[in-house]
Amino acid sequence: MATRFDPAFSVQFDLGRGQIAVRDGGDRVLVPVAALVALCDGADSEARKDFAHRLGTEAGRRVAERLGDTSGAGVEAVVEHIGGELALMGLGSLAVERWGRALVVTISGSPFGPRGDDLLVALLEGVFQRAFGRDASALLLMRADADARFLITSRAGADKVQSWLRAGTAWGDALARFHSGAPS
Amino acid sequence: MAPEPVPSPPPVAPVAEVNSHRIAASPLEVVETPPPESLGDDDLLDEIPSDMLESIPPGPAESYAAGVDDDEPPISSQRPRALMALDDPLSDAETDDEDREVPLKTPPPESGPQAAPLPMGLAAPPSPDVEALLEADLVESRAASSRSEPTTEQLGHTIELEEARGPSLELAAAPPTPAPPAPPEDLEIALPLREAAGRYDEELVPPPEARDELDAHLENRNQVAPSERGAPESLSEQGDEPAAAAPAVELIGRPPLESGTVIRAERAPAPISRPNTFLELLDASITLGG
Repeated sequence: MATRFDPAFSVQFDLGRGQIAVRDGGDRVLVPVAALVALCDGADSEARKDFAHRLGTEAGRRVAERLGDTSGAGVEAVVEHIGGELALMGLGSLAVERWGRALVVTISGSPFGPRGDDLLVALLEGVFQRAFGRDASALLLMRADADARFLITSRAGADKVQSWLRAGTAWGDALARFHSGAPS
Repeated sequence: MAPEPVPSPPPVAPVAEVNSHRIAASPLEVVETPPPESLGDDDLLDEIPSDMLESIPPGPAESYAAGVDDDEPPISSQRPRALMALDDPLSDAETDDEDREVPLKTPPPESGPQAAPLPMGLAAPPSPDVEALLEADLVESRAASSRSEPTTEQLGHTIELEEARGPSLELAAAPPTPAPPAPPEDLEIALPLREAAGRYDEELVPPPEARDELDAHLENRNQVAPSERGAPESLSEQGDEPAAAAPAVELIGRPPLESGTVIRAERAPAPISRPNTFLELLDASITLGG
């Protein structure tokens, strides 16, 4: 039976030794967002992707440890735990939308903004890969101010939808077209 | 020379005392005097001399204790017999309602004997004689009406005549009376009559702006081929010449449709069931991409 996400005492501040730790997560470092964004801007795409993927893998591991058997976990429980882990990292609020059979993840209030969308893509791929053992690809569908939507699908499906979006198709039409199984 | 004033009648008990108690007066104590004017307490005390005052002892104790005796009126309501004789039309009402109190009024010296007025406020007025009123209405209707036809009231009083005795008479049929002329219209000015009254006047000229529209319509109509113009069945079957004034009705029908399947039934796709687990949702989304 999946347990509820309990954030109590998740972050531990040892001011005597100057250390910050997350329960069952190891030490943490609190750094300004601007500095981190600047660091990511200076790195190449592979380094950025690897950095974000590692963050997602860590979050997925914690989710799997709390949920136990993730194959039987309900949608609400998974959303609660994944969202809790992203909130502990300060990366915004997570929600899930089901467009027919398509899975869409929304993240609101990310501190990286539009410049960190690729980081979020890599982070989500790391979460699903570590928590559920699935090689899923995330694709940015749209961003409106602080809200961003990501389609979770296969690599081929993500490439197909990306081509439609680049052709000027609206993200909703692209989703409907993707759901209907239209060829690329 | 001024007439001598009528001596004031003997005093009567104040109205207030009379209303509070209903004292049954004995026959010996009946006071037959003309009714005085409406008296107030001040009048009784100031103007009436003491030698004319007459105290009326109360009646028996039983009647006093009972307080009300509807059969005999109080002493104050006794009226002179002479005045009562003047009220013949109302005598029946008075006999029916003996308990009615009549305010006593002293007639003015110049007026002489007068009929006692109807009581006001002391008792209810007598009920009107419905039959007498109806008869009065009938008399008025007979006198005022000059109609030859009997009225409804008259029909109600129809008197059936006995059959005629003797040989029957056959009267010649009266010549038909000519129809009475139509009453002249009460108009100040006689309206001129038109030949086209009640009908469409063909001599009327359309307005200038309507004329152009009518011409354009006629031109368009003439441009359509007669074969293409579907003549209405109502006009073709009858074979009558159309009215000169009314325009012909033109019905434009739709071209015939080609035969084909009009309705095609499609089975709606089965609704997507909600996944039970997040993994099912993730796998379904991954499968969509192929």
